[in-house]
Amino acid sequence: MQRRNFLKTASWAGLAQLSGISPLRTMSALAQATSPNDYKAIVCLFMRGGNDSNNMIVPIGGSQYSAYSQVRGSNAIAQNQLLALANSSLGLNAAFPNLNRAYIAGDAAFIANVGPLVQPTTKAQYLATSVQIPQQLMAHDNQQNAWESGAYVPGVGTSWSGLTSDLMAASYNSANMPMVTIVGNATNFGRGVASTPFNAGPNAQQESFWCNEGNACNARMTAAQQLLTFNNGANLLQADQQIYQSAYKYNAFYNSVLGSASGFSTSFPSSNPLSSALYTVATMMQLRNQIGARRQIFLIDVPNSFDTHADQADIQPGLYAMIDQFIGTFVSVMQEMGLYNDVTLFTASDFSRTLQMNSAGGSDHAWGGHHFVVGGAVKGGKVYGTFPSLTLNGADDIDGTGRFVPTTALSQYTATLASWFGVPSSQLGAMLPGLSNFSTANLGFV
Amino acid sequence: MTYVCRYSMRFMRSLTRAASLFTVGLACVHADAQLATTLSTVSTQPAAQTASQTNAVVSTGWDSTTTTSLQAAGRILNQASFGPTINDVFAVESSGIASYLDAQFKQPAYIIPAANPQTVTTGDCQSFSCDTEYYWWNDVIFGSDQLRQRVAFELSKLFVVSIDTVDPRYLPNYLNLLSQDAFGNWFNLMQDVALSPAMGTYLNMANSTTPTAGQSANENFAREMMQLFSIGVYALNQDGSLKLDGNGNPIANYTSAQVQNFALAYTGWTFANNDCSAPSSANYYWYNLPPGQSCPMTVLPYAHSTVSKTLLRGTVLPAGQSAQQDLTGALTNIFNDPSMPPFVAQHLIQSLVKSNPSPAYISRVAAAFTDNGSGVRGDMKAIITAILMDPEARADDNGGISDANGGKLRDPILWWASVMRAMGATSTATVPNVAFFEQRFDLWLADLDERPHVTPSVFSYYSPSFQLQGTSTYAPEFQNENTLTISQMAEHMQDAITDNWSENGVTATEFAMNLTANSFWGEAARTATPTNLVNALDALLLHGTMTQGMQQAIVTSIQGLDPATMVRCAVYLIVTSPQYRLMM
Repeated sequence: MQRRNFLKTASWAGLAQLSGISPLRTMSALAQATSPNDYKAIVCLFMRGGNDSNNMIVPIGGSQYSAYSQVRGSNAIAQNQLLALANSSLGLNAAFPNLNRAYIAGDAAFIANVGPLVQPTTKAQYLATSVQIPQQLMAHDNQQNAWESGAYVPGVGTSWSGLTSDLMAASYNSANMPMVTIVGNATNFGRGVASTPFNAGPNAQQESFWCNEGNACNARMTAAQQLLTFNNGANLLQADQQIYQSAYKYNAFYNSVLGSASGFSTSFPSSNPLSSALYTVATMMQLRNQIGARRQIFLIDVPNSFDTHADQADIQPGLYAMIDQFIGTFVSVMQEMGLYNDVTLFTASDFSRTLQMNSAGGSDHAWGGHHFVVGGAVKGGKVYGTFPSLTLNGADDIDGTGRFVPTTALSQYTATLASWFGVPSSQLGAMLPGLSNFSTANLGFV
Repeated sequence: MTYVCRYSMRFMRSLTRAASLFTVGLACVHADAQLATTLSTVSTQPAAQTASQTNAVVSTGWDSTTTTSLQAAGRILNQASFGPTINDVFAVESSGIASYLDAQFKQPAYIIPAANPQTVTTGDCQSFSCDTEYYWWNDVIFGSDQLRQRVAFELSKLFVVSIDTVDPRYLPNYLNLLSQDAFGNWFNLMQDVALSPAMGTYLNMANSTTPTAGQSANENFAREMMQLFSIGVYALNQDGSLKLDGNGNPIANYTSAQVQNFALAYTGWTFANNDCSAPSSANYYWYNLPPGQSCPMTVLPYAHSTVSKTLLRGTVLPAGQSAQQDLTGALTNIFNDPSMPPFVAQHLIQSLVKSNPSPAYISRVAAAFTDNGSGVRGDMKAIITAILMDPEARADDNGGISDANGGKLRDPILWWASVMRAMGATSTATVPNVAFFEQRFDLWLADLDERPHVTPSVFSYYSPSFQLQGTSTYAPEFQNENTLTISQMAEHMQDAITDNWSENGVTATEFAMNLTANSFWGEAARTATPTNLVNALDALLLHGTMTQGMQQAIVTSIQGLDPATMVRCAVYLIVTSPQYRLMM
């Protein structure tokens, strides 16, 4: 990609014209952006595969630690590898020094045992199926879809972020770019009834419909876009043509503003697989005025698998070191831009994993798991929610392997973030199925 | 009208000059005849193919035995191969679809050689996967076992392994078992997959041992074998619809307890020795020499759980059975599940033909899975035949769109391979200098979210249940169709067509599409009108479905260009268009 940046630059102007992006429209975006306004962004860090968060925050002592270490066996984090979390009886895995710093500074919080729920559910109710239980628990793809949607509904559909865009983009974002940007893969995230996300590449790279046919290029680019209008009656064709049209439009605009990016003094460690995605996200925040965005939502898809069915003790430390280094870079670059108080990062993952170790030194798919949020707006230094009992077959374990019924609903977690972002509380119920079954829609962590 | 055009066809094949052919072709208004006109010119031009192949095609001619139109021939080749070539279109036109499938069923599987177990660097290759990728691509683009390899490719997106976590030296064995079992029985496929060192590594069945007190058995393979590979989360009716309980809710196919019971049944297997014999103690994977590279896993009796296991539908594997007995029992239990025929039918129809099959279509294919007509369950040839010969698959063979939700998006690998095949690509790459395929094809396809043999997770590149936004229209491949992948798609096709496979400023010469001024297409561009060139490309690439508006837009854009540029621009415009990316 790097090989032709100069040449690509030469072709952007033509592309922007072809895509119907006039200088006038760019001007209006700038005008909007220079007016006094507030700015907020949310970053979702999605740990695909099911993060075994049993090893992220751990009871630091007493019978709960004993229960933990006995059940986990050689996968347990040693007591001297736990960093005491103030205002709690828990310790943070020492693999997270940057996250710990943010917690101490009051800028990070944990939310214990979050998972998809239709309504408040006890172990007894689950076992008797006397309340509605979310479908397709413990299935990767469906639970990822649920987490992307923000509530308990598995499968492909809309998401809280896309529905938020439906509600707010007209007031907060220019038409040049969607409110939601995905770096990596996603299914539901950013999909509303009307909204679709923008997919950005790593390292804030330009993406264009590059042409190297000399004088033939203008005619070729014109024809390529004309082909997006010929309909033969097939629904799939029309759908693809719409995505193509978005690709032309958004990439042309994206390329046109990237030249204004000024880089960062924060260093993005090249050995960290998340750096390239974070660089894109930070750059799009830096360019918020040029883009004309007062609200942005990002999803960073962690490319490494957290599906630690085997040899977890060998794999998980590397995953956590990667996440923590990413957090350190995130905090630094947000502070550098003066946006730390305006940006909130939250984690998502398919599910947590069985507390009990399996015979391969790993753990299997479970349900509720622990999550964290980071940002200057976070009311941090605190663990929210209810930590489950770690006793096998105890109050929260559904089957004797350490699969915990969530004590906080995913919809509550999402609603708290959406409320901070500016979604009116009257709209949350329609966005997050089941939310109204819970006594509070705002957990107060941000 | 049809008769007149066919007569013209025979006449045209006796000619040699492309210009004359195009001129004659214009007189023919029947769509099929127009295709014949434009495609026949190609068969007179050895540049695209070998002379003997071309002569063979020409000599078969268009005679009274022809039962299949060229349009239908092009269409079935989209469904039953990695895309039509000029010669294949004529061959199917001549033989008919059923005979083509028969001949393909008799094609033996191309066998990918085992990877060198100890040396990464062979020639210009710098990875253990590089040679394998070359062999695989070579067969995909040039091989004759097209139907087999296409089915194997679709199976590889069901029985997923990924060489980002599995040692690539296990890949040849895995790809070979998929292609060898593609025309066998589904049960054997399940068993071969289960015992492959690739799957053993990917989902941890290798060295999964009986749990000690306070442990459970690793559920990775046990869960995905049911959820993703065989029956799905919920019970299905034969037509693929969800079975519902009395309250209208779907019925779970299995419980967590059953997953654990299957996991116990699968314990006690380890990698074979390098000579495929069974070790007396566990063979562990190690990088310097992965054990049992080309062998099924073998039993490690002491590591097998001998407790009784309760499986689906109340089936119990009694205590004390061997690992092999339990494996056979567990796979048989899944194989006989009523959800399996519709689950497999839906996957394969969506892979080969259309994203939104009717319930009746699924039901007919599921019936063929259940019974091939001779009482055999899981006969792959019967399943494939049922899929490809179904009236719903063949409905639009002679044009038209009978189902507004018909067709499917070609996934990037299929799209890429189809373009290379159609445009008469040639390769001079030979072992050991074959890095081109991994460094260009594979890495470019990674930008389109479909790097061959590297899936992001066990649920493959995209979900069969992905739907178009705001609709109930299934569109699995659209999961990776977005603003980024589309620009990458266009960019890399430009890299291939115009920029001589340029990557980081380095071009490559060992692989080429036949698009020069001296190629058949270049000849057409020099001697015929742009309209004729576009019609010919329409015949081959879109089996004659190009609309007049599309044709005019392309013709307008290429008028006045030099022949080579004209060909490159016309081909680029068609193959990167949504019209071509979709397979109608």
